[in-house]
Amino acid sequence: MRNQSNDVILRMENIVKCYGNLIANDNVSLHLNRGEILAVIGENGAGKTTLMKVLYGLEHPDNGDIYLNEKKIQIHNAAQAIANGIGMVQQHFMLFDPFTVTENIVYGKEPKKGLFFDLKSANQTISELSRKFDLPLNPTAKIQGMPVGLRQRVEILKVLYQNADIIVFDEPTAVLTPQEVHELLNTMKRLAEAGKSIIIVTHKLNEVMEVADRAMVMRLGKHVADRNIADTSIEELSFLMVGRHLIETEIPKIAPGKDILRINNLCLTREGSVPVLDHISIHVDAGEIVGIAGVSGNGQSDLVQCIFGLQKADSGQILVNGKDVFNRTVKEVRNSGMAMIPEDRFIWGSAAQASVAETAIMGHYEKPSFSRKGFLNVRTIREFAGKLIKEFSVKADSIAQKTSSLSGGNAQKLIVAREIRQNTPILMACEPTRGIDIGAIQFVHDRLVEKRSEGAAVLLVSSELSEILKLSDRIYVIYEGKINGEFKRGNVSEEELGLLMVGSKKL
Amino acid sequence: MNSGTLRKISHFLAPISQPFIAIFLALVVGAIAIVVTGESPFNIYKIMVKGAFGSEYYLLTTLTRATPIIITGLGAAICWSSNYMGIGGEGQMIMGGFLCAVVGFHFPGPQWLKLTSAVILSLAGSGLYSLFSAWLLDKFKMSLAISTLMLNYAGAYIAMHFVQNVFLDTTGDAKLVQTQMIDESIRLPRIVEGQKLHWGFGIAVLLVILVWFMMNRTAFGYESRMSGFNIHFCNYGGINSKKIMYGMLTLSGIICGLAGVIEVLGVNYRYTHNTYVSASYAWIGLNAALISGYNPIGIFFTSIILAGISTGGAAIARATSVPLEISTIIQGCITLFISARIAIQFRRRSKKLASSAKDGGSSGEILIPETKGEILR
Repeated sequence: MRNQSNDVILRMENIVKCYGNLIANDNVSLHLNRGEILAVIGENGAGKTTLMKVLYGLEHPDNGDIYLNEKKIQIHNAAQAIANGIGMVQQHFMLFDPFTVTENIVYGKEPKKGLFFDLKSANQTISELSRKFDLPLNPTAKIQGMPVGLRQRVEILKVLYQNADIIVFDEPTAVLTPQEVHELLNTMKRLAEAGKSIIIVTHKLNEVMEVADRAMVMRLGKHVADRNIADTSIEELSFLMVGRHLIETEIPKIAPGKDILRINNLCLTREGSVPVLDHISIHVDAGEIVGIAGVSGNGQSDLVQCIFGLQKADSGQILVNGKDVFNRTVKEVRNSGMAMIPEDRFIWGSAAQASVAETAIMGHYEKPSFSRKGFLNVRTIREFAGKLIKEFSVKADSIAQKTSSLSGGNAQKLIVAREIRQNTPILMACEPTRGIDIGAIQFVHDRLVEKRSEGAAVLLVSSELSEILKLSDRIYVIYEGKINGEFKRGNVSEEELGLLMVGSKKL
Repeated sequence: MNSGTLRKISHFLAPISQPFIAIFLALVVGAIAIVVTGESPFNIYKIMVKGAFGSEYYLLTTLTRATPIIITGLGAAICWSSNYMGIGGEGQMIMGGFLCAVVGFHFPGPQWLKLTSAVILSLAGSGLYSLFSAWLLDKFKMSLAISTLMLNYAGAYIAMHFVQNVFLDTTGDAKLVQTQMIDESIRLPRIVEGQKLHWGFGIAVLLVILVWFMMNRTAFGYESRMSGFNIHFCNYGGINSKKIMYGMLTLSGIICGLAGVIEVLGVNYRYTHNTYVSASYAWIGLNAALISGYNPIGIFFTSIILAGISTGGAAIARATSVPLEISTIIQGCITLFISARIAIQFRRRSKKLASSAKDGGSSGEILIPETKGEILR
C-alpha cells in the first residue's frame, strides 16, 4: 500500500453543468486525497469527461465550487488549471510531430538564456525529469514515428514538467497495446508513490481494479457511489455503473461449415510507402466469427475497404461463395452477399442530417418491397424502420428525427440493425462497439453471435482485444499489412496477441 | 395544445419561417434606406405591396415575373441539395431560350413540328450544356462553381454571336440583337385574356409538384439527398455517386433551359440578347432555392415574393421620389441575411465537429447548409 495520507488535496463541490436540456453533471461532488489514485468510472455519457473538463477549465460549471488544499479557487481556462498544479494527459495527444521530445515538453514554458531558447539546459532538465520518474525517453528524438505508448509518455512528462500535483488521465489506455497498458499502470503507481495525486477516467474495470485505490461511480450525470477498491469487485462496480446486472454473452458451440469468404494474396501499395496490404490470405467459414486483431493503422481499414469495394486493391482474389468479387463496385459486392458495419458510424455508417428512416433503408431501398421502378413505397419504408428500431431497441422518439440526435450507442444499434437485416451470408463488423456504453456493447455482441449461430460468416475487426478474444472462434493478427499469426479460440493469451500485434515473430 | 400537435405545426412551418424572417429583416433595412431618402417607409411599403399584389393586373404581372424564377430555382435546388453547387442556371436558361427561338422559327415543316422540335432540342441543348460542367468536374476535377459561372458568359456570347450574324431580325425598326418572332399558333396561351400571365405559370406549378415528388418519393431522389448529406455514406451504401452527379446536373440544366423555353413561348416570342441577364432570373431563382432550403414548395412562394419586390419596386419608382434601387437593396439584404444563416450554421457545426473530435467522439458531420426535406421526417 502506498503512503497515502488522508489529507484532501482537491475537492469539487456540487458541480452542476447543463447543455440545454441535458444535465451532464447533476450536483456532483468529488474529493481526492494526496497520493491517491482515484478512478472515475461510468458509461459513456455518464458525465465523467464533463466533470474533468470543468476541473481543467475547459468548461464552466453552472454551479459549484472547487477547493484546492481547502482554499476556494476559480479555474477559467487550462492555463489557470496548470498554474494551480492540475495537469491533464489528454486522450488525443497534442504533439508536434516534426519536433523533438524536449521541444514538445517545454513548449510554452521554455528555459531561456537571455532572449534565446536554451535548448541545452532544456534537454538536461528533461533527461533529469525522465530519470527521476523512471520514464525512459530520449530527449532529442523526434516525435514522428514514435509508437503511441511513447507519445503518451511525452505527454506525461509534459504534465510533470509543468509541476502538476494532480494528474488527470482521460481514457489513457484506449489506444495502447496490452504491454503498454501494463507499463502505464505501473507508471501511475510510481507517480502516486512520489506524492502525485491521480485521477483516471475510464470504463475499463480490470484496470481500475489493478491500479486504483478508490473508485467514484457516475451514472446519468450523478455521482452514485464511492468504493474502496479493496472492498469491491468488478461485478459490483459494473452493476453500479450500468444500474443492472449484465448477462454474459453465451457463445454456443457449433461446427463451422464451408468457407464462404476466402481472400487470397490481397496486395495494396501506396506510392512511397511500405505495402499497406502484403499478400493477405484469410478465410471465414459459415457459422464462424473470425477476429482480426491489430493496433489501429496496420492495414485493417484498408483490408476491409478493399474487400467491400470502397478501395481498389492491386492484386489478389476475393471469393464470395467461390465467385470472385475482386475490385468490384460496392453494389456488386453487397449483392454478392456481404454487409458491413463500418468503423465510423457518422462518416460511413449514416448521414447526420438524414432521418432515422433514411439512415435505416440504405442498402435496402432498392428491394422490391421498398421501391418499384424507382418509386419509393413510403408506407413499407416507415413500417420497416419502425420495426428495426423496436426490434433492436434503438431509443428514438420517431423515425422522422435526425440521425444526429441519436446517442452514439443508439446510432450504432441502428446501423447494426440495418446491416444484420440485409440477411447476407457474410457480415463484416468493424469496431462495432467503439465508444458505446456497456449495455449497448453487450447488445451488439449478442446480435453478432446470433448472426453467427444462424450460419453466417462474421469477420470482426477490432482494436479492442477483449472483444476479439471474447467473440472470435478464430483470430488472425495483423501487423504492418501482413498476417502475423492465426489461432483457434482458447489457444492464445492476451499477452501473446499483444506481442504479435507489435511485430514479434510467430510464437 | 399538446406537444405533438405543436411539433407538427412547427415542423410544417419550419421550412417557411426562415425565409420570412430574412425577408422581414431585409424590409427593416430597406425601411431605413427609405427614411434616408426622406419618405415614410409605411407609405412606401404600402405602395410597394399594392404595386406587386394590389390588383389583378399587378398580381398577374408579378406571377409572370415569378415563373422563370420558380423554374430556375427548382433547377438550382436539385443540384445544390445533392451537394453539387452549380451556378450555371443563367447560361443554361440562355441556351434553352436561344435554341427554342431559333428552332421554333427556322425548323422546316408545319408549326406543330417546329414547336416539338424546338422544345426537345432546346432542352437537350441546355442539358448537354450543364452535362459539360459535370464532365469537367469528373475528368479534370474542375471546380463546378467556376466552370458553370464561366459557361454563363460563354453561353450569352455564343447566343449573341449567332443572333447577330445568322438569325438577326432585320424586319423591325428597333436596333436590338434579337431573333424573329415565332408564329402565333405555337405561343403559350394566356391564362386570363388581356393579361400577361400565360400557361407557363401552370407548367411551373406542375414542375414544383414533380420536383417535390422526385426528391421525396423516388429512389433517385433518395440517393441524391443522401449524396448531399454525406457522400461517404452514399458510397458505402452502394450508390454510384457519379451517376448522381451526372444525372442531377443534367436534369438541373434541362429545368433551367425550360425556364428559357417558357420565356420565349410565353412572354417574348423571340430571343433577345441580354434580357435574362439583366433581369437576373437565374440568380434570383438560386436565391429562392437557398432561402427556402431547397424545398420546392418554399421555392414557389419565395419566388413570388422576390418577384413581387421587383414589380413593387418599379411601382414605387413610378409613384414616388424613391428610386428603383430600393428593391435591389431589399433583395440584396435578403441574400445577405440568408447567407448569414448559412455561415452561422457552418461555424456552429465546425465548432461542434472540432469539439467532438477533441472528445474522441466519432463524428463525421459534413459541412453543408441545412436542407429541408419532407419525406420520412
